[in-house]
Amino acid sequence: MDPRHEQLLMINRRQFFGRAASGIGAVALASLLNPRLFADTPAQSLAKGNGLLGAPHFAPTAKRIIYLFQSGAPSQLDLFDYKPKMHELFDTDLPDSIRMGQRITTMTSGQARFPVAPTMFKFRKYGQSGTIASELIPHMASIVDDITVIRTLHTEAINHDPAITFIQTGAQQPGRPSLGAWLSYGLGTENHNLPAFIVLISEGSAVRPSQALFSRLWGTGFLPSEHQGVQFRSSGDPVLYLSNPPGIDQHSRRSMLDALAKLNLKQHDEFGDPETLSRIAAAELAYRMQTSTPELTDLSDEPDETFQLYGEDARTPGTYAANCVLARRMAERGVRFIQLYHRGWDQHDNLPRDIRLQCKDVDQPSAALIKDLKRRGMLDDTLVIWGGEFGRTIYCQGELSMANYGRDHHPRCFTVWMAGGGIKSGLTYGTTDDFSYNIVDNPVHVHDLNATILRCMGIDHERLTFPYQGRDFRLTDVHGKVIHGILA
Amino acid sequence: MSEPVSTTWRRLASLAAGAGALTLATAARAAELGGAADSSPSMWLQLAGRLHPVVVHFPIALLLTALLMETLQMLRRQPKPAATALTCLALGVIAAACAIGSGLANEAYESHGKALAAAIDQHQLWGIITGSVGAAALVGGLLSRALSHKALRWVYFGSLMATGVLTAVTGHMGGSLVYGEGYLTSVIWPEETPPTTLSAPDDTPPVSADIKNVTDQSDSDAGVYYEPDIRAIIAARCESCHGPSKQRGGLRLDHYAGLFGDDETLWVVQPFEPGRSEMLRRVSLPEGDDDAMPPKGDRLNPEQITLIEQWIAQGAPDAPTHASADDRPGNTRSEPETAESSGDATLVVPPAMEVDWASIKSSDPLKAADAISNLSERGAAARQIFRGSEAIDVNLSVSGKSINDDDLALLDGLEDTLVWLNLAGTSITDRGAQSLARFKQLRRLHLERTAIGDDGLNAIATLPHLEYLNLYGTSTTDAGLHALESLTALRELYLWQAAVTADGVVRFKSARPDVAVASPWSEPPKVEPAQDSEPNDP
Repeated sequence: MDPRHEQLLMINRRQFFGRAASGIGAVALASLLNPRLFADTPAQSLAKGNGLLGAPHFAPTAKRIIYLFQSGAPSQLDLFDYKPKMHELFDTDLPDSIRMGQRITTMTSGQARFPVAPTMFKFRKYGQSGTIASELIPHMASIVDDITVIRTLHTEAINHDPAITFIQTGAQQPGRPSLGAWLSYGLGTENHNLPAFIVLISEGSAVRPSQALFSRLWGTGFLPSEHQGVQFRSSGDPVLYLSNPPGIDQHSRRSMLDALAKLNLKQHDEFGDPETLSRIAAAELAYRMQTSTPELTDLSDEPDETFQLYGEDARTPGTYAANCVLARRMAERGVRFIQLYHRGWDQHDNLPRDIRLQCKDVDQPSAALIKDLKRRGMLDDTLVIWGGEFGRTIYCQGELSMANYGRDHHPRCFTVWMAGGGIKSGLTYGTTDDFSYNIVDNPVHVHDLNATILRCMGIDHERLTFPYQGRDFRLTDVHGKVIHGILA
Repeated sequence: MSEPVSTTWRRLASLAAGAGALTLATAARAAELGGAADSSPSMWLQLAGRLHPVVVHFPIALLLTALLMETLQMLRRQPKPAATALTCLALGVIAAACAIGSGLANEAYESHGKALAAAIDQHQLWGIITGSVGAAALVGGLLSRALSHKALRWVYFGSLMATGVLTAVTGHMGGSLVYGEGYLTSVIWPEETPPTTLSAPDDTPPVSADIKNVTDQSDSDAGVYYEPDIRAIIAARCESCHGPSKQRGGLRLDHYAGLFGDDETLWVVQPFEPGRSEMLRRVSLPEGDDDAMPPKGDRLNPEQITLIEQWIAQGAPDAPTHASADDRPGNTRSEPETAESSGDATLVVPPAMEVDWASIKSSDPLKAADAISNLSERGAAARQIFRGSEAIDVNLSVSGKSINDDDLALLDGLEDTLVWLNLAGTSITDRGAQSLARFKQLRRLHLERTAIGDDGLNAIATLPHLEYLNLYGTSTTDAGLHALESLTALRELYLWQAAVTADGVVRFKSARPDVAVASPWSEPPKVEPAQDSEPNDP
C-alpha cells in the first residue's frame, strides 16, 4: 500500500472514531439532559450549513462582513494620521529616540539617512465628529460620522506577504485558515445558493507594479475545503467552468453530477476522507450557482442612480467600484464574508503620483458603499473594514523633495477604519506619536482586530477552534483581546 | 473440629492480625503527620492520600459482599458462618484500614477549605467506626465458626449488618463530598432537597439574592466593584479555598490587595482585560474541566460570571468610594476610551433597548424545532440568534420571490421566539404582513422591496417590541407611516424610495423624535472641498 495513502487512512480512522464517539456521546447526553431541545451536534450543524457552532456564542451585532482590503499598505500619513509638526522637520533626520533601533526593511536599511518627509496633502476636520482626513479622500471624509478610524493598528511583519498572511490568517507563515474560512466554518452560510465566502480582486491604477496576491489568503488551511473563499472573476464567467459547455444542457449536467456524486460517495465509503464530501458539496454548490451567480453579477438592473453614487467606474467590470456594487448585492443575498482586494498601494517611490491614482479608485466607491448600506438599513448588521496590511514610514525612501517622496513599510502603527455591525460611529481611536512611528495610547494588535471582528459576529475568538496536529488552533492563536472601546 | 476448619481459622486469624497492624500503623503515621501538616510532605503519603478515592471502593464492595454472602448462608439455615463471607469480610477490613489510612493522609496533605472541614471530620469519624465494627464482626465470625457458638453467630451477623449500614452511610458521605450534597437524594426527592452546594457553611450568609440585586444594579449602569459585588461571590464560592483558612495555589481572594501580587503576570484578574483574566476563564469553564473553578458544586450562574466580566472590563475597581482602581499596585493602564472623539453627536441611531434574551422562551419547543427544520428545508436561514437564548432569527429573503404569503405558515410555532425576521425582496403582500402580528417578540423586521402597503402596516403597528423596521422600496404612504407612530419600542425606520411625502415624514418625526428615520430620498454624492486652512492640532 502506498504509505501516503496508509497515512491518510490512519488519520481518517482516528477522525472517524473521534467524531463517532463525541457525536454519539453528545447526542445521548443532549437527549438525556434536555430531550426537548434536539440540539444539533457540531457535525449535524455543519451538515445543515449552520457552521460548527450552530449558533454564535453572543448575540451578534454583525451578520456579514465586507472587507475592503487595500493591498500594498496605504500611507496612513497621507490619508488619516495627520502630523502637522512634521512640516517644521522637513528633511531632518528621524531621531534615534523615535526609531529606537527598530528593524527596517532592506529596501531602506542601506540609506545613509532617514529624512522626515511630511505629507504634502492638506488635512482638515470633517463632519460633526471632527474626524481628520486628507484632501485625497473627500468622499470618505463625507462618511466620517459613520465610521471608527483606528490609528493604532500594529502588526509583527514588515514585508507584504508575511503581513497580509498575518492579518488575514493570524499567522505570518502560510497554512492557516483565513478569517473568512473561519467564519464560514463557524457560522455556515445563510444562502445555500451562494458561497459563504466570496473574493473579488481589483487592480489599482498606480503606475508602480502591484504586490502579488495568493489564493491561500482566502484558503482554508486545515479546515474542510468547502469553507474556502470563491474568487469571482471580472470578465467571462465570474466563476470558471460554471456555465454548461456547448452541447450540454441542464438535464445532462444534473444527471452527470448525480452519477459523479454516486462515484464519489463510493470512494468516501471506501476511504472515509472528508475531503471527498467537500468535493461533492462543491459540485452541488456550483450547480446551484449556475442560476444564482448570473443574477448576482448582472448589474444591468441597477438604476443609473447607483452609478452616480459609486462612480461611473462601477459600469466597468473588475474595477474596485464595480466590486463595491457587487459586494452590496452579495450582502443583500446573505453572503457572510465578502472580501475585496484592491492592489497597488505599495508607494516606495513617487508616492504623491500613485496615491492620487489609488485614492481616485477607492475613495468614492468606499464611501458610496457605506451610504448605500445605510439608506438600505443594512449598515446596522454589516461590518465594513477598510485597510491594508501595515503602514508606511515618516522617513523618505529615495529622493525627497517638497513635491515628491516615497515611503517604506512601517508595521508599528497604521490606520484602518471600520463601520456598521456594532462599531461606534464618528470615533477616532488611538494616538500615535508626532512621527506616526510609535503608538502613544490604545494600541490595537492585528490579533485584537481579528478578535474584535469575530466578536461582532457573535463569536468568542477563544472558543472557535479546530484540532490539528495535536492542538487546538484558532484565528488569534493564543493572543488577541476584544477592543471594547470601539464597540457600540 | 476438623482439620480444614482449623486451617481456615488460622489463615483468617493471620489476615485479621495483619489488617489490624496495618490499620494501626497507617493511622498512627497519618495522625502524626496530620498534626504537623506544615512539615515538608512525604511524596508517598501524599500519593496515598490522593489514592483515597480509588481505595474506598474496595471496602465498600467487599464488606457489602460479605453481608450478602452471610445473609444467604443464614437463609439456607447453614449452622456455621460462610467461609466466603469471612474471607470477604477479612479482605474488606484490610481494605477499610487502607481506606482510613489514605483518608487521613488525604486530609493531612490536601487542603479542602473550611467549608468542607466539618463534613470531612464526619466522614472520617464514621469511616473509623465502620472499620472498627467490621473488625469486631470479623472477630465474632471467626470465633463463631471455630466454636460453633450459636449466640456468637447472631452477634456476628448483627455486627456484620451494622457494618453494611455503616459502609453505606460513610460511602454516601464521601460521595457527597465529591459530587456535592444532594447529588443522589435530589433525584429521589427533588422538591425537598434542591441541589445545593456544599460551600454554604454556617458562617456564610445566603448570598444568591444579594447577587441578583447587584446584577440588577449593574444593568442600570452602576459600576461593578470588588466591594461588595465581587466580594459576595467570592465569599460564597471561592473563599473556603482562597481565603483566610486556605490559600490554594498561593491565591487569596478575600481581600482586594490579595488579587494583585508583585508579579503582574500572575494576576488572576487583569484589569480591563476579561479575555486575559485567569479568574474569569476558570469560572467560565464547563463543569468537568480540570481547570474549572470552583472545583466542587454547581458552576457559577451566568449572572455571576457576567458580573465578574463587567467588573474586570471596568478595570476591576475596588470600592465605589475610590474613583478608580488607583490603589492597585503597579496600575499604569488608562481607560480604553480616552481617544479623542467629539462624542455622540453623530450617533444618529439611538441605542436599542436591552433585550432580555433569557425571557424569550418557546412554549412548545418541539413545534419550534419542527418549524426551524421546515424553514431550513425551504432554503431559509433559520437559527438560534445565539446560544444564550431561545430567540430565533429567520431569513426568508435568501429565497427571494419564491416566498409568498402562504409560505409564512412555515413560521408557525415560532410565535414566542421569533425575534429577527427578514422578508426583504419576497413576494409577500399585505395579507402576509397581517399574519405577522402574532409574533409579539419581533425586534427586527425587514420588509423592504416587497409589495407591502399601508394595510399591512396597521397589523405591524401592534408589535410591542419592534425596534427596527425596514420599509424601503415599499408603497408605504403617509397613512401607513402615521400608523407606525404607535410602535413604542421603535428606534430605526427605513423609508428610502417609499411612497411617503416630506410632510408625512416631518409629522412622524415630530410625533416620534426618538426614532431615527433614514432619508426617503436619494441624495447625490456631495463632497466637502478641502480648505486651505490647516486643521487644529489633533
